Amino acid sequence: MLEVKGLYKSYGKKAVLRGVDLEVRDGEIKGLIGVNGAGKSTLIECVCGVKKADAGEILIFGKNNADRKARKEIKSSIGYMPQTFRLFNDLTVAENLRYLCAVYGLPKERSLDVMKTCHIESEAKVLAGDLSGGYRQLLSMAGALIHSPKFLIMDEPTAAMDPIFRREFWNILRDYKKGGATFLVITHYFEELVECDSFVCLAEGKAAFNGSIAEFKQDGMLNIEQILNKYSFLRE
Amino acid sequence: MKFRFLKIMGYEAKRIFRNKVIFVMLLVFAIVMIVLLFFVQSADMNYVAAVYNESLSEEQAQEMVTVIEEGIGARVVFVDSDEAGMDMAKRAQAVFYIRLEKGAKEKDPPHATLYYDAANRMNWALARDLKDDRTKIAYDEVLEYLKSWGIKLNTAYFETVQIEPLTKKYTLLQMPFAEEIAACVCLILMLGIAYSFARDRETNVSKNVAYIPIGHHTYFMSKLIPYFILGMLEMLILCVIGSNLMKIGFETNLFLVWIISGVFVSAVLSLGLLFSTMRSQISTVFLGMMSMLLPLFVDMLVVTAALPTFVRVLLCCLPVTPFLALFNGMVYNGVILWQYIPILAAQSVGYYFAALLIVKRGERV
Repeated sequence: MLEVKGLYKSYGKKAVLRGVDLEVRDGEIKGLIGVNGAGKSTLIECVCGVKKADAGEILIFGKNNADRKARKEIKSSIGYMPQTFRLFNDLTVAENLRYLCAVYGLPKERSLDVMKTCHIESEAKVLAGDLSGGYRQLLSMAGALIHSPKFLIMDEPTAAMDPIFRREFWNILRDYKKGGATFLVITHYFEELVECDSFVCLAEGKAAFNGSIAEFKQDGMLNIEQILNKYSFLRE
Repeated sequence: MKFRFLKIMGYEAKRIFRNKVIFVMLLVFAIVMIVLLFFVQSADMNYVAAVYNESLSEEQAQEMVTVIEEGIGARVVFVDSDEAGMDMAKRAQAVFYIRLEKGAKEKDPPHATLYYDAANRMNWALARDLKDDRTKIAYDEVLEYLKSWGIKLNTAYFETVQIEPLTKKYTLLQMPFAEEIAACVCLILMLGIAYSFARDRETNVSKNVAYIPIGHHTYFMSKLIPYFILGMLEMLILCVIGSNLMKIGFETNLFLVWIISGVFVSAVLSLGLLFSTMRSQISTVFLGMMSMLLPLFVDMLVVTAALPTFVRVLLCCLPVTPFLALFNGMVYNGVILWQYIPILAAQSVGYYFAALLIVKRGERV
């Protein structure tokens, strides 16, 4: 589904990504973890085609996202859920989703389905600006699912959620996965990695660990700090 | 995919008009402002002229102003200046500008350019005078005066033909109508659209646009068109108020004036869009205000057409300048100064694409 090979990206003199390799296979939930400034969001931005990589290759659905035409197609077929709420505060939940239906050229009835999927029908007439943090994230999720994408990229989706909403979120995600969707989820919560089939730990702009949680534990590690210590040589 | 753009635009319009208070403010503010200014200005009909004539102290007047002729309740004055720039000959309420090169008077024969700006009316008092033949008489008298003074007249910027179609419809309640319309429309539309984009940037909505399959043109136009409709509605209301309540004699068909004003509205919106690409809100607001106030102030002080070429070119980059000439020409003189229409159209397109370029440059870096 997604293949990232030797990705480099720097802002001025500061190298953010230094040869990242990453593979997300069809139907899996891939976690992406790392401390602040590790380059997670930059990696996602490069994958989504919003930022241009200095070197390396990104293939989504087998298409190279350096190609403008392919990028347009990729944009229409992936779902992206941002870390912060980016929909319209002055439109209701239903209107926000209908707006996205218009963008993707879908019938407005699709907004009802996705509201049901994300359990936000009760908030349909509430202005997005008046929603609680948890509902806002569920609305963001609904927005990302509106066009039934086969590949979803989620940037710290549960950051603003309490444990109840977080559980709700993972339940929705698991249900959606049954349809064969693939996910790349950035998270700061180590315990959420259990939900992932495998995960990548970014440290100092490189993939410091790439494997499943079982493999991770086999290595005798219990938390992310241990990975960072183990791969501290990457800083040099 | 049917009517995709219209649907997107519909939601953008909903965002603008959802807050009824703001919507009413957007629409009513212009009307209140223009009516208020109308009453302020028509309260003392001699106010503008009095300020003009009496602002000079007696001493200054003796030094600078030579009364050339007095008669039929009017006078021609010549404001003397040794510096290059503008001198003014004023005959009653009709304003003529004589532009002298430095040392022009010492030249043999002395050269001067006479500007009679038929389109860019200075104040209501000028229009009051234009209603009879006295302006023509005044114009001829100024020419005679220049001849007697040995100044070779270069040209009248707007030729005498524009003095000919003097209207009989002028009322005593003339006001700088175009200037007020320009101020209202700029304040509301330019700042409105700039704020609309800035708000989307602040709430990260514009970032989201990069992740969904919506083109820049669709995103921009879906915002610009509702504001354009609002601007045209406002322009129509203001024209109708001017024509009916203020009894401003429209020398051109009101509907035609309204349609042609569309190029001004779009130029203002494009400039607002360009300003909205500024990183800080304060620079957006500052630039918006300056782009409106600068040509307004210049036009209040001097006739733009008589300014040096590079200043005129600079001023013509701001939508208010060509609009004032175009609107005044149409409304007061029944003349459509076509040359200003492509200027405004070029501004609309130019500023739009400049904004697009800036936005695109900020992406995929």
